[in-house]
Amino acid sequence: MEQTDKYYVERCRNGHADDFRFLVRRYQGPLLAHLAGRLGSRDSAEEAAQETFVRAYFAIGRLKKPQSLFSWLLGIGNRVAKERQRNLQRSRQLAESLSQRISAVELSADYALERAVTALPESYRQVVLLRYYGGCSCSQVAEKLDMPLGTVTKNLSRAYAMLRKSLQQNEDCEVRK
Amino acid sequence: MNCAECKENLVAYAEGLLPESKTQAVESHLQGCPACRAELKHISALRDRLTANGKASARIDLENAVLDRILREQSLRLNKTKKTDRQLQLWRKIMKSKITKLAAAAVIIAVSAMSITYLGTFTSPAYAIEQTIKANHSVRYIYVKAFTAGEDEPKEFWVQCDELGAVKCARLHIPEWASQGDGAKVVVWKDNKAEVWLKRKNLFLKVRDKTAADRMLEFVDECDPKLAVERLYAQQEQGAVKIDIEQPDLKTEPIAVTATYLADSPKPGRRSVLFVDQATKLVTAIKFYQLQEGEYRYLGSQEYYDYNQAIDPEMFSLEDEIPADVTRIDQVALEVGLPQGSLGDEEIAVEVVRQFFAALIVENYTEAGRLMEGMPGDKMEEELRHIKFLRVVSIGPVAPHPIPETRGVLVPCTVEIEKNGQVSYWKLEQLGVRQVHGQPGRWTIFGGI
Repeated sequence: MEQTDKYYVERCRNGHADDFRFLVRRYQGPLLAHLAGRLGSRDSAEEAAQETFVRAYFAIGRLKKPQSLFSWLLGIGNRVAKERQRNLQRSRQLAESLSQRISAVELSADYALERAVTALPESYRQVVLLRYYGGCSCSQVAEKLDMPLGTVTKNLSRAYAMLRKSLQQNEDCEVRK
Repeated sequence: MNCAECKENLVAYAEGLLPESKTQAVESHLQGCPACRAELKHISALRDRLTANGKASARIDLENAVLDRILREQSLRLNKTKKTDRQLQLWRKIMKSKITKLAAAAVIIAVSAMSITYLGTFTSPAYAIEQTIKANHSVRYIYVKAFTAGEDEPKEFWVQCDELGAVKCARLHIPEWASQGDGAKVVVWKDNKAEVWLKRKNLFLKVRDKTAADRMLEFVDECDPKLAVERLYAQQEQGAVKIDIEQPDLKTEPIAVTATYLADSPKPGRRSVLFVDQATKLVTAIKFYQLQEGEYRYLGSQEYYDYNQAIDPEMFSLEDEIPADVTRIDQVALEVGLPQGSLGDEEIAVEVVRQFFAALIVENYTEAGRLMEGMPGDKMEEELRHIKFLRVVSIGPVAPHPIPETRGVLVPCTVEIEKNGQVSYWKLEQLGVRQVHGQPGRWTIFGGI
């Protein structure tokens, strides 16, 4: 049977560093998608995700609710992303004359989608990330986020509506350009 | 079913979560409602897009990169915080005199100067294990912590070597979990003599014993980073291990040398990760893993500190540390037991026991103690004062000792005693006799009676 997040968190706290790999395996997909949406580049999302996991590992003793590991990880991810954006901005100001924006090659295949996911309100975003980037079924999402199955589908439904709207706006922008 | 109801259920429908009856209701509504069909199409399209994007990000695997970074960071942190709490207490003792402080500084300067010249002669910046082997030659002092998975307290070693790299002095702290028979102990080895402080038994033993010395050196060998690296190098030459070297650009980060034992090597599935300091090329830590059910499980680690920081000679003597009320047994200064002479092994064993009880009958506790590993007379008196030994009823027959490592024999015997005014027979089944460690040709009673 698959172990709970809490189990692995405890194992890590007891010095079994190796067990952290299970948590990485479990959340790398959603975390990457989340960070890619924020940072706009696969490469920097990957680096930021690594950094997030490393920070999480060393702070795991301070995690109060091991069952809310995922939202805690997203929180750390947000801080890492913010720091990176600050650094990026500084270097970008210097490079501005050379290129106006980050090159399109750097962007992931569906950056628009990732950005729309990242822009979702917290509770909807978590459901989408776990469902599509964490490989969870709806009932697994319900279990992880401790909510009824009906709420998961309801949140998904609202998330879809919001995603559609922001993707639509995005496309309109592109067209106008 | 109306449109509002249908829309409410569309996500659950697309996920296949609806019960049979509701699925049918949704489907029959969809057949007659183009608006809801369009809505479902939007949902499906979005789902496909999300799934495709999810699959694309699933191709990236961060696992190994993250674990490598954690291991490296951890080793750095451990080295940074090394002078805290418990260690600080010990090092305060080591570093308390100005002279050792200056000496340590001199050694560090000498070593860094050496490594600079050494590095200067090297043309390629890439790391190779030979560099560590070479760097190890200058090591005279080292402090090692050896951790075992599942145990908090490490074994600790302090080692001083001579110019040729042979162990000159060593100090070991063995925690309770690693020494179930004796309990936590401290062993110091110097000039072929060992001092052993058994904390739980409150016993302090001095021996000049080849076996004890060999055991001690075995321990030290197991934890010697020099040997670890040389062994690894030899294994690589023989094709038993595959070595991957990762040298970070950042000079403050250690080089990670991962040695994976191949399937047909003596230790299949074993993996060691050596962390090598970029400046000195010395090993700062080794972590051991074993492949089990497709995962590398952590077995333990050894951490190396304070290369060439002179160790205070006081660390290699226990006299100032042991409690005042400790029971002392000095087998270096005192000849204990009886010389074998022309007697056979069984005859001398019986003779030791006979003379032991003869001494107790006349209340000569000093002599009895001498026949029992050199136990002090006052300690013997304290333990046996309340028993009056009257006569020996029987001794023997001699049997092999149930624990072969003791290399002794059992001499069962029965003595007549008076205790609390009552006369009785006391049968001793487990009385062991063996040759005195480090005193060839002499025999002694050992263990408790």
